[in-house]
Amino acid sequence: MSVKTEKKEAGSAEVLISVQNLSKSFGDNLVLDDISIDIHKGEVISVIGPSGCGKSTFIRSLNLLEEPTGGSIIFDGEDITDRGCDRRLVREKMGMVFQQFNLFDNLTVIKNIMLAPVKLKLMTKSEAEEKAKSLLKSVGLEDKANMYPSQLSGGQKQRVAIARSLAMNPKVMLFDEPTSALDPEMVNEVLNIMNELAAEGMTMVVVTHEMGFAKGVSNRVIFIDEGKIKEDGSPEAVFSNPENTRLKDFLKSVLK
Amino acid sequence: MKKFYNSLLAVMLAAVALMCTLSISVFASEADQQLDKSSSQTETSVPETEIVTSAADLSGKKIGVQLGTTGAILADDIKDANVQKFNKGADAVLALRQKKIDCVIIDEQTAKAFVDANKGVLTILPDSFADEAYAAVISKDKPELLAQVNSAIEEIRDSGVLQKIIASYIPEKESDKGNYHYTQVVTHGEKLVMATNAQFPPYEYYESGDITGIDIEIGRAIADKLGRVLTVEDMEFDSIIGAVKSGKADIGIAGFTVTEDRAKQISFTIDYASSKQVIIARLKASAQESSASVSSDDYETPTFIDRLYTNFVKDDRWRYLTTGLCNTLIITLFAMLIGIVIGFILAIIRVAYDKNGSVPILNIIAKLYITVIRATPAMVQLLIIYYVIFASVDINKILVAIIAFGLNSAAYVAEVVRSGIMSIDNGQFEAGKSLGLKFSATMINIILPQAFKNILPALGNEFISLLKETSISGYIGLMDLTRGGDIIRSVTYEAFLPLIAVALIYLILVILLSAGVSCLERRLKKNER
Ligand SMILES: Nc1ncnc2c1ncn2[C@@H]1O[C@H](COP(=O)(O)OP(=O)(O)O)[C@@H](O)[C@H]1O
Ligand SMILES: [Mg+2]
Repeated sequence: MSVKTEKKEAGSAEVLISVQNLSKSFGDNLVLDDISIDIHKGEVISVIGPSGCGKSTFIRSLNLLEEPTGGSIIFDGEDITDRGCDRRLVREKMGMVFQQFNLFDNLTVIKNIMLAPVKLKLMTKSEAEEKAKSLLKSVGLEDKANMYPSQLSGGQKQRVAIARSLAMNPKVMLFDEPTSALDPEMVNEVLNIMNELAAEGMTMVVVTHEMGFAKGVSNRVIFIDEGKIKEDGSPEAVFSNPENTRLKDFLKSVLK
Repeated sequence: MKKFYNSLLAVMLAAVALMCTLSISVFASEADQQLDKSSSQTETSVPETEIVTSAADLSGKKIGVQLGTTGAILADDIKDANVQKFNKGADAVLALRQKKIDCVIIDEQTAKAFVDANKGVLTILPDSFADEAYAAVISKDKPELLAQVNSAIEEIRDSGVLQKIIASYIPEKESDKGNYHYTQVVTHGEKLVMATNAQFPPYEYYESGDITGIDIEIGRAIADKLGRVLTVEDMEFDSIIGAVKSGKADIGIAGFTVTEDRAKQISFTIDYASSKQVIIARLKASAQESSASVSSDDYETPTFIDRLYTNFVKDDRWRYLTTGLCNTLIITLFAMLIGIVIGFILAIIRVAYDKNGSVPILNIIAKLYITVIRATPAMVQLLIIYYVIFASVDINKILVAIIAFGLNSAAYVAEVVRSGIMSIDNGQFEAGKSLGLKFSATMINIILPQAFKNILPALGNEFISLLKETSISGYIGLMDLTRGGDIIRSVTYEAFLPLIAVALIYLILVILLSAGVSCLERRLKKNER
């Protein structure tokens, strides 16, 4: 993968999200088992691991799309797992990009981006339109503003989805396998956008199978297996001399 | 659009063709009966009848009666008789004519009107049942009103008005017919609501769009004595006592015979007229022919054009259909709106629970509502709303029908909408949620517009059913399209043309409605390639 490698320095010391003893089970199935991790401002974290190990569950727990069954998550100084906390306000500040894009099929590209800021009264209609246009420009899709999602390619859809999340001015962006549903020739257009975002200092948590991105763009890699974080370190440390045998096997399978 | 016109044309042609073939077959089947040119019945020679020849001959026969009438009570006492109860006397008579039943037991004056209209085919048997008295009915809770009406009847009898009214409708000489009409003097003030069943000439029936007859004029005379203004409510005969009991009507005047069973339910006034129950039977084919050859009355086999004229043109009878159509459309349209609004709300409550576990109590209520409505017949719901829920409220019947059908439709719409919402990819909900949108905002801006497009065909079907379902509105005495056709049937004694006309109008409405739905569907599709 020819991702531009503008490697970020490790994030500042300030903790943005502190995950403490997080567990999550679906019925009897314990998917996340007592996970603790601090995510610092400006960090770009790649989350890797075999399929079904709980990567999605982990990232979806961060913005409470999945309700944790144990532990707590402190976001920006506030315990968002507390019952009294307004989950809606939390989600406003955490952008999320899905594997399947999930663009609103009934709205044009620009309306997709404008909907939330306008409905939540964060911006006036004209402000939101302005913002949407500049975001579309930065993802290279200003000419698609009035098209419907069904008229776009997968890569274009995902770039719109990123722009849509960014319109909310989030403090952190969560990506759940953003390029896995794309044809190979479209992967880079999305990775490039993410790369730029990282360069601008956005805090990002990215579940990915793109080892090029994990190595080249992120400044921290965590390996999840059997519901636990088995490895956590710089890309160099994790990729060049993996200690965990499961990680070795995993890397062998994805890098072959 | 062109395609739509073409298909509309095709369907109309098909319908007309169907109508023609049907009418030919009906002509054919009626031909033998209509060969006969007339019968002027004279007391002296009793023509021979088929199957039932005398009152002693009724056991084991198929007897037609009108639901809730004295005839029905009498017939029930006849041994081994197969009693068939019709909503209208005219339907019973039609069944007799078509040989579906053997005779009809009905009030004498009504019988005369029916036999008159079926000259040479039907006749009244000479032996009749005992005389009976007609009285009005009033709720047992209103003894003062009963006393007032009783003295009013006495007064109009003493002054001769009562006799004049009856003589004008049942004259000794044909020339005296219609020589007297009582018009109400009091025009302002409290209403006196009279329930009746305008299918019962000469006591109450439709003429030129208005309900008229002996009972109506007597009602006016009574209302004048009470200083109140008479309003007449037409309903099914067997609904009248219920309407009076519940307070929907103040008084019921509809040729009620005083019977013990009825007296348990309701108070009878003093009687104002008397009649008897008679038996209508079919003439033997031979008798029909002979009577035809004997007399050469000016009774001719009506041509198709004649029949069209009698059923639709004469006395502006087409107005029953247009007024009925208008009411059917109003009821359907507003019921549809209520159905959509409440249906969507119910569906959203159900989905909010299914997706987020929110509003558990509302969800139970919604579920219960949907189950109850879908598990009971619309007709029963309509009657409950009119006679139970709005029992003592003076409420417009069209409004009642709109509410009843709207609430009914809501349950079906709810299920359609719910399945439409559930068919939308969960990712759409999650995307809305992850942006911080409220469930309601996601619903309104994202999910419903998409779901609506998917469910449009199913919603269209629901509204087609609704349109046809409104044909039971007649049960609360409302003149919808079907009822309009029924009224024509009750005055022309013909089933075929009024029913076919009504069916054709429904057909055209449904075609238009379907076309509207597919037009909307196409437009929505264009919006989002
Ligand atoms: N909504 C759910 N209900 C029940 N089980 C689930 C649900 N979501 C995920 N799981 C289970 O949790 C485990 C981890 O899933 P997931 O987080 O999607 O894995 P990954 O994203 O790493 O492939 C799987 O065994 C999966 O079956
Ligand atoms: Mg996953």
